[in-house]
Amino acid sequence: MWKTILVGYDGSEHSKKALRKAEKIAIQNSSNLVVVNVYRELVTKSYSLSLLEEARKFLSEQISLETISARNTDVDDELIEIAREHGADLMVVGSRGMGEAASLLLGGVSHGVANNSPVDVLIVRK
Amino acid sequence: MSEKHVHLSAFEKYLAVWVLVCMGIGIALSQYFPILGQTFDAWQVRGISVPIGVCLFLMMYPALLNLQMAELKKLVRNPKPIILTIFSNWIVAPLVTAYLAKYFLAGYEQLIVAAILLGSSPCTAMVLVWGSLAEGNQEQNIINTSLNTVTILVLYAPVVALLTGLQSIRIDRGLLIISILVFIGLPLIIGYVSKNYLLKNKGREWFEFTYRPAVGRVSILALLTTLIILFSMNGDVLLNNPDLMAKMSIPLLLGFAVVVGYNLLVTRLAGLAYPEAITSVLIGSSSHFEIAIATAISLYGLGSQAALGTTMGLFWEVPVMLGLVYFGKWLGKKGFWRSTTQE
Repeated sequence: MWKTILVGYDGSEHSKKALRKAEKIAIQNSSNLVVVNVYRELVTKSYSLSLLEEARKFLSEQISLETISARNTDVDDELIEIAREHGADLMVVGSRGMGEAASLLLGGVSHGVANNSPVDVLIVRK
Repeated sequence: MSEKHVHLSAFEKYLAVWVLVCMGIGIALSQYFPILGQTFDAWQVRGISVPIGVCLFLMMYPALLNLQMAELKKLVRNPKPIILTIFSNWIVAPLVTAYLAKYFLAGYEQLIVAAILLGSSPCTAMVLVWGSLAEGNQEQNIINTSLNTVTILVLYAPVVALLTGLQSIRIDRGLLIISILVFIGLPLIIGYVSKNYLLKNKGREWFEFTYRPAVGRVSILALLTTLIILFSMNGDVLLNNPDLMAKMSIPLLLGFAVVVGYNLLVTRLAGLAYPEAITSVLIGSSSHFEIAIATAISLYGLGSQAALGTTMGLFWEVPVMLGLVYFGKWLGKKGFWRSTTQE
């Protein structure tokens, strides 16, 4: 049903849930999986790469996998842009369950992705 | 892993525009609400402006979270590019800037001091942005900026004192040292302690993806607030002396050209590969405008020519460093330095 699935991953418990869900769907549908970590501050880059390495080890070897580390202060936009570039037809993100106000200061990704994504979005709850 | 997914934020891209906007707001306030500037100026503790002190702390703090003492141990693996950078930051750039300031700003003592403050302070934050855009060696960048944070604490006051002394410009050296301790030392200690506490109690993921970006946003607001307050105090000086900023820009831009030329030459002669070379050039040619602004305000006050002069460093930062990034990349493609694949 979905050929390419993009999942946002930042090492948190909710994004690990999203990753597990994306893995299940990818195996069921023989989809390609694109795991993306978007970081805002440049010094976070090496941590971003280590997270993607952690994700790679976690995932089943039978999945066709690509990992991408990207820097952008607008995380939603970056995820959506990468989804477009890779022809993803499903985006999977975790939800911290924050309200709008908290999301504004602390960065709530799932709101923005759900509102602006041109493809299907699966928000994995806490 | 693709490097093309590195974007500048709107703030970083349009920093020169932000400075102009803040200039406009500040000048308007100085003309229509002069009481505001007087209030800011009156609120002082031992010569240090409290509102500016708070803003400057908030500006500095995020960069000082970047200090990675463990990374400094890696210096011994490949010290050459970092030694070149230290020489440029602490010998070449300060001397070139001081000389050009003396020549072009004769008679404007505070502007000479502003130029020396800018020329003697290596960048510890924005240079990470430039290095990433240039696809330089980011590990070297982080090590070097961590080292710059420590060397500023130790060398900034002596270098500035020496260069101003050589030109017979008297500055309050005690206040200079206090400024460094308050605006670098204090955020450094608080940054180190808070980082360790938060990493231990909230975890790395929260620290990197929630805390850092949040303090980064606060830092931007603090910088813009500082600029508005600064220009609200200096509106009259600017309006009565519009040529001052142009005058200030000449030695800054010329000095930049000389220091960049020097760094391009030595990195090529040293046989560095592109990623290490471009990182050295960027860091060696950079400037820490936050500490320059902070120190100028401490030494001469909010409403001083020196404080205004240091904002020129901020104004030119983005166009000049972006230009250097693209120029460096072009030189890299033309084989000015060896690529990483060559031995």
